[in-house]
Amino acid sequence: MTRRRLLGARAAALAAVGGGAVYLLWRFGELPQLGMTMTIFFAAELINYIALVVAVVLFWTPHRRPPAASPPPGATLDVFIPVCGEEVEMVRATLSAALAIEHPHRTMVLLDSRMAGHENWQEILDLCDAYGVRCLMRASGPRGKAGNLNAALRHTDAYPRGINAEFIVVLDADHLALPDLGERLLGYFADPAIAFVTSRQSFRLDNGDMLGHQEALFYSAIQPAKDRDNAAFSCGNGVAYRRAALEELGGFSEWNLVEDLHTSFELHARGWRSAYVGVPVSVGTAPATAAEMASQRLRWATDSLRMFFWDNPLLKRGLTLRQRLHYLHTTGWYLVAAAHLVFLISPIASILFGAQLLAEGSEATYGLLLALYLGPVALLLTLHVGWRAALRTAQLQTYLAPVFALAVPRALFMAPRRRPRALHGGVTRKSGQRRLSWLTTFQHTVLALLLVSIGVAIAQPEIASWAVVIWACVLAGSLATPGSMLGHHHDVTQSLRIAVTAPAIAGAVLVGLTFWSTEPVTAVSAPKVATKPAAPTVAKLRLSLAPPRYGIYLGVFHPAVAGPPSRPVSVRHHAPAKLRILHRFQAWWGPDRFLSDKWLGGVARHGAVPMISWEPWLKPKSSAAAPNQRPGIVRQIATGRYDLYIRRWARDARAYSKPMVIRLMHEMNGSWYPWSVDINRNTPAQFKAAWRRVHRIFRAAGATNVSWVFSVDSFAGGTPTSRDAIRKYYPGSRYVDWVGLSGFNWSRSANGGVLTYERVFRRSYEVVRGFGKPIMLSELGTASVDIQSAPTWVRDVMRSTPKRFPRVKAIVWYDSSHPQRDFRLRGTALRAWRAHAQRPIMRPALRLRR
Amino acid sequence: MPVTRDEYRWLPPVLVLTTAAALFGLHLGSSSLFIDEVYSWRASRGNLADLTGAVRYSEVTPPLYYLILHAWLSVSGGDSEALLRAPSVLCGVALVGAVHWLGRLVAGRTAGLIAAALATISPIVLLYSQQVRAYVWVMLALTIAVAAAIQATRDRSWRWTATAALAAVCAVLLHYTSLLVLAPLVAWMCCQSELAGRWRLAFAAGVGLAVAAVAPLAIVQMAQGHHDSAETYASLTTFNALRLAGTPFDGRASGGLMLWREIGAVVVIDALALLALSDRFRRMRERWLIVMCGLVPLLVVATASALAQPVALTRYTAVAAPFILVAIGIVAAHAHRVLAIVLVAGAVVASGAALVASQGEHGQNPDTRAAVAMAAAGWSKGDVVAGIGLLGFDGALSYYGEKLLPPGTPPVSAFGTLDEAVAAPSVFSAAERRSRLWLLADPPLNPAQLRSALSRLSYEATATQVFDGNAPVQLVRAEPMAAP
Repeated sequence: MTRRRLLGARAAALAAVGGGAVYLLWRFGELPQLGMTMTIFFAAELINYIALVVAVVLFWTPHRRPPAASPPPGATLDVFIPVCGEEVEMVRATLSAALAIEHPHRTMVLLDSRMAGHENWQEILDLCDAYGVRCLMRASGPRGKAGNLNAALRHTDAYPRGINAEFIVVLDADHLALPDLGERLLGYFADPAIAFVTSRQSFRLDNGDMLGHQEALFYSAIQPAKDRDNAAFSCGNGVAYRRAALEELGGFSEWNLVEDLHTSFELHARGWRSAYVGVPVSVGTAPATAAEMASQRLRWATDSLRMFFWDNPLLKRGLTLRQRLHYLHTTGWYLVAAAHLVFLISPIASILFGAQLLAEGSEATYGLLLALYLGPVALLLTLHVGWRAALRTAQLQTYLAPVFALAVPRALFMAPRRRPRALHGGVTRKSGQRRLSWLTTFQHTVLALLLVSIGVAIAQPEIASWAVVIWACVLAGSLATPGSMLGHHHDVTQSLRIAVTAPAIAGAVLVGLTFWSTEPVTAVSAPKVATKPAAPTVAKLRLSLAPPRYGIYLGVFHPAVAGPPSRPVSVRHHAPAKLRILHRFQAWWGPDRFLSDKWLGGVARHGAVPMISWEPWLKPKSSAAAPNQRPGIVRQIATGRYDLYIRRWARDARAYSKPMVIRLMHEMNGSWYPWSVDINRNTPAQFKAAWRRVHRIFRAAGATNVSWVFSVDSFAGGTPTSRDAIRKYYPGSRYVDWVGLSGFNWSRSANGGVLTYERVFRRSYEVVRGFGKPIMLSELGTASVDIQSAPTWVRDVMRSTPKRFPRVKAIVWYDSSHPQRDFRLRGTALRAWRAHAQRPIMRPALRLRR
Repeated sequence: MPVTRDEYRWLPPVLVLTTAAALFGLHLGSSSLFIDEVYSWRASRGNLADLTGAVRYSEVTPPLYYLILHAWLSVSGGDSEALLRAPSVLCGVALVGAVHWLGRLVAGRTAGLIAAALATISPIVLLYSQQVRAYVWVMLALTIAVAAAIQATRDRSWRWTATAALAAVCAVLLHYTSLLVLAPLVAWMCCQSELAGRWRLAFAAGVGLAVAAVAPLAIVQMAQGHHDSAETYASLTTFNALRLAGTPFDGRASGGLMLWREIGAVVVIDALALLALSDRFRRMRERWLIVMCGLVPLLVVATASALAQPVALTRYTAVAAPFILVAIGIVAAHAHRVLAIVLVAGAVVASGAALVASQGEHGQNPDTRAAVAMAAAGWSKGDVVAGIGLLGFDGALSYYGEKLLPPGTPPVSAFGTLDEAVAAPSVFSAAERRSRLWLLADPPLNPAQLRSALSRLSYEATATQVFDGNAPVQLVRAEPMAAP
């Protein structure tokens, strides 16, 4: 690595650590709003972050060991080739290459005739005879490679003193040694403290390294850094050992499934040193299918985790602090990688089962902060190993997360004193014939579910956040490469990979573009406040209406204040009341479908706040009900069909800049509007998605002066919705500023007789109180036909509200004729209303907030 | 002499073409004319001066198609729906043939045949083959241009180069969206060292000149702001994004069908990606040309919709459809058998679902013809017709009003709302004469609103009927109230 590249990598590492800290702090702040799923998710993120920090510290300075001097004079070498059921032709090639090693050596084949169910031991014997190579065969003792090697060590001990080789090179039976192996490895043994020299592994991969076997990150960055702290460990093949060191240890470690890692660990603990050579000394074969690789990695993970649990490096005597940390990182990494399982499952849980992973409306911030965190991580990896190897590393970690998770219980159940038994005798099959395995079933199921989730989320955009969908696409794209390695037929695996990856990437791009198109939001929608406002005004700050500290805002819907925009707004009819809210209804279709500057100006001139009941329909002329008028309107709003119209409103609302109130899709719990419950197949999810979309567009446009009223019809009127169902329609506290209630006394002649104020609102009040928002009686009135009861009803409302319904902070009278009933305040009722409206409690000052 | 299989090679393409002709010609005049089709009719029915004015101020396309239609109307001497649509049908069948040619040229007979078969059942090809618009024409011109360009590089022939240039120029004169395909084609041609430099230059210059020729007209047309009305439905929503991605499988039915649309989108993306990236097709020289011709229109329209003007409509990406279908054909013919079956099955399912939906009641154009025909059946002298509702309804009304209503009937007026209609002088004077009113509304009117509005004229609705289509049309017959 060049110096410039190293500096870049360090800068990226620092940026990743800093970005990760900011991201996690922000996520931590979001936790209280979210549930258990999010907490688990956060824990997995935290674990990964800690691993990143440890890695940055440990791998800060890579070490490039200079090439070795010539081997010590007269250095003798034994080359051990353990054979555990490999094909004869493969062993033949290995043997030929081993014999061609230039340094003087003896080659020995170590054969366990019991392994892997293969019955070819006789053929191996014949092969050794043909090459004149000694074959040390055994049929007893511990199974596995370590057993073979130790049997060989003991056997060669039997030779007279002086004949035994000083050094041993272990070659796997599927690795072809390079002729200069001896020169590359043995020179480092000039230092008498060196116990073993390990080398970079290299594989012959005809169809590209789709499974990341070359492990560029490990061999280019991690091992060199470990080597600097004398913590590079043996990878089992192409390793030269000092016989004396092994003899001190009592041979290769048989404590684990494979010998390499634990043998290195023990040697380091005994004070021996190691060396890492960054160039390969052999070329081997690697698992050709994902199933074979999963089996191999399960064994490695189990071994490493077994050390983590039962022979933890932190507790090991004889290691330096940095060695402990290195071994802790190596053995504990699989635990970290297992946590990726959470990331894998989360989008499925979110899309298909509704698990909440992000706080509402936080997607843009999430995306930005995550990019600030993961961007440098990606850059760091790319600077170390190039983008392709970095991509493969990430893909593999994701794909193998379930395998690593499985290794955790396996390692826990393998007690320290019990000799573990390996899958398939501890030999990785590399024939490419093993296409499917129970180890990869889970990953393929997850991949299938991810694809289904993406499909569902695109078909119903309102059910999941765009960020989660993009994330699902990224994961599907990541899993596709290793997941497609079902055989060794390159053409088929490549086609499969492309067929899954391309739609996943296209899905992510389309969802991203769609989001950009429908919500051109600044990434972090924090309120923008000038640092030094010259003269802060309500208009400049775009403040919204807050509930009064004391008292109740009084408002009306009346033809004089809500008439066509061409007619001037007049409050004379209600004088001397101090009207704080002037209410009007506006439909999305019809001649009066846009915000009227004239009307807004008229309201503002009276010192009141405009409230608009914003109705996505074409208002019928002489009826208050047209439930089937626009089927699918709620879904259409949720999917962005009316974004342009909404955006125009948002811009106009922002331009107005003074506080205003929007009562969107009110009385959804009734049955008379197209957006009502159970009408036109509307669902709570659609309603919430529609509401949030509208809200987001307003926020994005900077219309922070708008307060949102979630207004339901009071239950006393016989609405078809059960009380509790209304909770399902509540868009969330971030999207609602006030909760509204509509309720009327339909008079004695209506069914059910006189509805007292208490009866109209009590049950509804008790339910909506639970939302924790200020309550507005957004439409209330009493039928004027009942001349006797109307004044009493009015007085009851005006007098008893503060005590009876203390959460009510605004009362907006419906002082108008309704198609079914006349609710105008007239005569004694109007006089009573005016009298009470003069009370100080009904004339609070407007309170605004940012 | 024994008959060999090779002697019947002509049979499958002929069968495909025959099927295409039958499918495209089937029910040719059964669906009411759609507003844009009536615009084409209006532009082409008069003299050439009228045509120039109509194209300049009421269209957003170059004039070639209207000239062809004008000639056709002059020759045929009629302007029934079937007659108006007949040139498009012929063009659609020719497009299937061109797709076969292109597929066969690039990847062999099987690829050509699969692509042609898919073009035959492609909902978008069917839609535009039965529409009095230029889309299928530009698709045909572009397919010929690309195929001729490939042929030219293979044969090193100036004749094919000239053919490609001519087709490309025609495409530019037919529709501006042709540039989305011509851009990669010109780039590709410029890179073909087999062709003499002057031929390549001539090809690029021909296209450039055609673009320069139509540019002033395009500027005038854009300044009219015709597209503004599309803003409400052309923004890049998820639904529209899916429609764009699955362009060859988007038909007349505009609602629902999300699963089939998703399948169609996946088939398109997979076919293009496999053709571009799979080692199997690496030796195929023209694969990138086909991929780019299929992909660039989709990307440009989606990106433009996201970042600038809302144009997320498949009418703008239709130019990509032939090349996407060829890509599917190539991949299906050469990929692993299982993958090929899955891909073709996906395409057939997506096409089939859209075709079935577009042939259903809700997949047809708004049935203005039936509504006007019913009014005509009960027509009395002095009656007045008024259109109420969405923009465009008046266009179809003008055609059917002229065709179906008795001679001498004044032109049908259109109004945004019912209130505007009842306040209009023509309606008001009819009411004074106590004549009958026929109201055609899209969307249907609210009964109470209708009652209230008519009562102001002392009228009442005596009959109403709603006609199905991809938008419902309501016919109301209103007569003076009987004296109390």
